Amino acid sequence: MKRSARNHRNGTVLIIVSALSALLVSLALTFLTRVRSDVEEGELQYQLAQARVTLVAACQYIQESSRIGWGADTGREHAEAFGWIDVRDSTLGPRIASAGVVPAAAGSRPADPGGDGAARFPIGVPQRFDLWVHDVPPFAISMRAAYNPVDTAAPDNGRAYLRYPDPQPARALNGWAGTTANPAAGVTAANFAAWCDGKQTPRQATVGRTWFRLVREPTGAVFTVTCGAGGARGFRTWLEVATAGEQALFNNDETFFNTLRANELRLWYRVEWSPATTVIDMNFLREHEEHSYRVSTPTHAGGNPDNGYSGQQMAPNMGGTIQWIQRLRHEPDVW
Amino acid sequence: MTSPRPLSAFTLIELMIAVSLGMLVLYTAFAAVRVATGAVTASQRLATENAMLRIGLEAAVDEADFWTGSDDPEVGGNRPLRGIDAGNGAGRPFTDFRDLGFIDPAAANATWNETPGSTRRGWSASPLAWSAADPRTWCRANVAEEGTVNPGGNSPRTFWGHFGIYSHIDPNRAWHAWYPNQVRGLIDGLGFYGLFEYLPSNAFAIYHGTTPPKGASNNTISFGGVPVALTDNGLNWLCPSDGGDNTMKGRIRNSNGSRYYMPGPQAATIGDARLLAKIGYEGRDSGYNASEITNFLDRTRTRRELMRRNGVLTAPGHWPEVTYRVHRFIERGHPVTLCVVEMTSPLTGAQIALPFTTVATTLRGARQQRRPGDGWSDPFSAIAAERETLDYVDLP
Repeated sequence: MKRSARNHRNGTVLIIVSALSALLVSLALTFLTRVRSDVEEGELQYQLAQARVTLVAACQYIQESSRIGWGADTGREHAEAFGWIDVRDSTLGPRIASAGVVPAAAGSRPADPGGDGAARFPIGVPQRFDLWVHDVPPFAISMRAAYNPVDTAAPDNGRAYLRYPDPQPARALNGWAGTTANPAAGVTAANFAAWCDGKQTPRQATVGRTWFRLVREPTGAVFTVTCGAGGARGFRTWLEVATAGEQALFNNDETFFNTLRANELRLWYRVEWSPATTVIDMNFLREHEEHSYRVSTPTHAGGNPDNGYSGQQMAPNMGGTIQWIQRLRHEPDVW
Repeated sequence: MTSPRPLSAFTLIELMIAVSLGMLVLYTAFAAVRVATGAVTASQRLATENAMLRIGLEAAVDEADFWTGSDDPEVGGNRPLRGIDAGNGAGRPFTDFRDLGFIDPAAANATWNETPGSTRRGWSASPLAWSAADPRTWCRANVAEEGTVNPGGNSPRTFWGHFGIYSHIDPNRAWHAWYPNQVRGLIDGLGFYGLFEYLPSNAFAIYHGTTPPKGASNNTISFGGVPVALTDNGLNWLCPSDGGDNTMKGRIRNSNGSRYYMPGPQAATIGDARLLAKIGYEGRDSGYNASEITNFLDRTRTRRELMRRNGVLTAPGHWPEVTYRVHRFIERGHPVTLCVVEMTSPLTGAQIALPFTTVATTLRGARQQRRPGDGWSDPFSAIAAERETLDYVDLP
């Protein structure tokens, strides 16, 4: 059968349209691939930032746990401690107040009378800290800014009243009914305990993002910090996972765990904690005349209310400082 | 009569319409392809820019952690911030403490003491060296005590008590000599940035001594009055004037109106390690002149070449060029590591700057990364020589 000229034209149009479509598709694919590749390459920067933020978290843990959070786990009170190296006698800490003061250590490494310090945080043994955000942290305070907004209508126009407590527990966990006539309405011991405990289940979006590990060195106040960004939850080996009985975190699948580990970013640092906080200079003292100072009266005791220039509020630091930070070039044997 | 011949071709009108429509279709298709191509090209260019920015960011963070722009420990590396000034013996931020004679030679189990003649006056990396419980580490000055008001001008006015009788560099003049020796050793050895980074954050940078600090223009010595070599040395030395308040202060107050800075390798003079940058409140002395900021940035800049070698571009000319710089200084007591990644597009001329701060290796950490001479230190090496650093012979 003889094909008509119209059929010829249809075929030509089809070829042209197909070619153009293919061209467009290939360009679109190139574009999408490029974007996808860019995102994947950017993931490294995300992990890098995450790991560096984790270094800050590790330092804060070291600072806070030097002085607080230790002691008998009875009730909600925790005894104050006196630093990774005890500020009272240079012994290995953290030792709580009930541990007596002993004569100062002589050498460059702290003694550990009674083994208190090593018992609370052993020397040379890696400790794992998986990080996530609690649904509601213990003792969480609501982020609400104004519980007593200034009324713009009569009869309270322009007057700031303290009708409502400020601040208040997050999510009203203490159960208060909000009635100013009865400040105790709804608050029970159980509700108060619920506020103390918070809701310590993790927020899902924050799980498996980052972790750190600490190894305490023999000098007592120097730590090797491993900062990790990835999903292995701070476990170094599958054996560690098994020993901790946490295989379920990784679907009981060692290969899955190893894949997560392979995609992690890890940075190693050494840091030293110091009990020093802030020098007692003119921001704690009132200038008497040039070159000369007088001790400020604390503002809570009726002293100068000029909070911007005097008093401990200039440096609200009870956990000491990080004296130095050293990035390690290689993975240490123990971390 | 013949019937009309059937049409076997387009009429002129049909042809014109068909050609017009065809051209429209072709133009649309061409435009679509062109737009798509442009989009791909633009995405490629943006991806390259992103990649360059990523490289710049990683380089800046790397510099923040390893300080190689300031001091390159590799063999043949540039290390202008080491050594000792031939004139006055002062050191620089990366000077080996051994070269200064400022290092504690004692073993880890040795006893601390302050008796005259004790060699334990140098720097020790042990956390116990600055143990709060040891009286050795206490500054004896009393900031709330003022001595003679000096009404007649014939008796020395004293501030912070007569602490020179308790704490003095000369152990024959006072019992406690360790603290003042630490302060002076750090000033002489590292300069101001190093001094305030090495001292615990609650320390007063003050001492009395019969010898002035190295590199000071004012060589006035002090026996217990005002240590003017530290405080009044041209109002540009250790303690800034800050509202006429050039007295003994700590790290926060001293860096309130001025900044102590880590000199970049281009500012590797002895003097540059011992200068305040009068920016911020103290900039009033110069009328808040912008040149103070410019000088500050020039002196503190640390960087390495990324896309150039000896100034010659080594990447394709159409690639955006990325650079980075890191500035380190002490601001209200806090060591700040300021990183800036900058990129210029050769096609559009657009400039991007990413400034950010990060918590990173401190000067002391950087000195502990380095061995004397060439090479990196490894604190966990089984070989003793590889554990050696600019701060200590062996890990405490």
